[in-house]
Amino acid sequence: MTFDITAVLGISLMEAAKQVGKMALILIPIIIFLEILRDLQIVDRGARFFGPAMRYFRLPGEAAIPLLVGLVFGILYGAGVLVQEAREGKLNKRQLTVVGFFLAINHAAIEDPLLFTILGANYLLIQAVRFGVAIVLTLAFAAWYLPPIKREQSERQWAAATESSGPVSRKELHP
Amino acid sequence: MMPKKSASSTIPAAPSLATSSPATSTPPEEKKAAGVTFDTWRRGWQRSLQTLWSLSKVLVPLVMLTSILDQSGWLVTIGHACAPLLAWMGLPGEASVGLFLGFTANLYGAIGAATPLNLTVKQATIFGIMLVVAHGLPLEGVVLSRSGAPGVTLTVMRLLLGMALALLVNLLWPGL
Repeated sequence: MTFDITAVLGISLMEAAKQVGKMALILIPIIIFLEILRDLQIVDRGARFFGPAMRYFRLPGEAAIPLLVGLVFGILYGAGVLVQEAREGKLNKRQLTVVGFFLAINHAAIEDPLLFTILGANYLLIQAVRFGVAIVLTLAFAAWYLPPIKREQSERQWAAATESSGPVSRKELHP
Repeated sequence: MMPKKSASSTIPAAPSLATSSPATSTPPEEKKAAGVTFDTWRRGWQRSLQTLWSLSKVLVPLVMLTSILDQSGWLVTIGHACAPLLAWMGLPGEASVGLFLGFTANLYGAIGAATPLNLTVKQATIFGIMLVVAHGLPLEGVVLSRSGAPGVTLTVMRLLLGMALALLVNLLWPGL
């Protein structure tokens, strides 16, 4: 088999350049967008909003923060928040495992599926399957692994989360 | 975005603290008012270029390697070996290189390796679903363990789940 090395290298280099270009088209907007999200502190606000919904996962409202951070910014940051909350005693080992379970399946949800559109994949289908599977499996896992949340307890969470409006600080979320 | 590994040792405390990534060294501000300023755009632009640069260092060699493997015909040989397994998932055997890279390293390597294959929409979607669930397993497994979750169990679960979903989507999606 004869093998024109320069031609082969040339073609491969062109493929690589094309790939980097496509990656730039996707990555630059995403990362700027994530910076905007950060500075608007949308994730903090979102965590407050989703706090009450955490009871479906049999989790305390605080679990919404690592979940959302992980979903938006990636597993590394989500896990970072998780460690902190565990250290502060807001999540116990079992609750932390349930949050980790969800994040293991679904994280960096803005960026990851978008990357596969480079290959021509169906974006919505990937996103739907990932979210669907993560939510359903985590619901099932939590129902089996965690004790049910007491009614009174979840109502207190509701009250705490809907009480005041305005920009959220972590203090308000965890009085 | 591929967060730097050092972030796992200096744990980001709160969502707003995730702002100060190790990549750009913005001075730590104690209390920052919410709002998008010029600085937001500048930081976003800089960080995206940094990410792109660090990715290119991985991506370019991998794309070139696969392309060379492809042109030399070795990719077909590797593909033939893995073809029976991947056929169940509706993928060509050559996709095995991309899958392996994705499981062990990251999505960028996987996409780089799969680009020369010209996958169909269905194949690309299956490839994506499997990898979006299971990728960067060693690193992310360690991160999960560090957070206190059972990293090994979760990692095995991701791998099996990714493959199961690929099988399922292939079964349910008619055509090529």
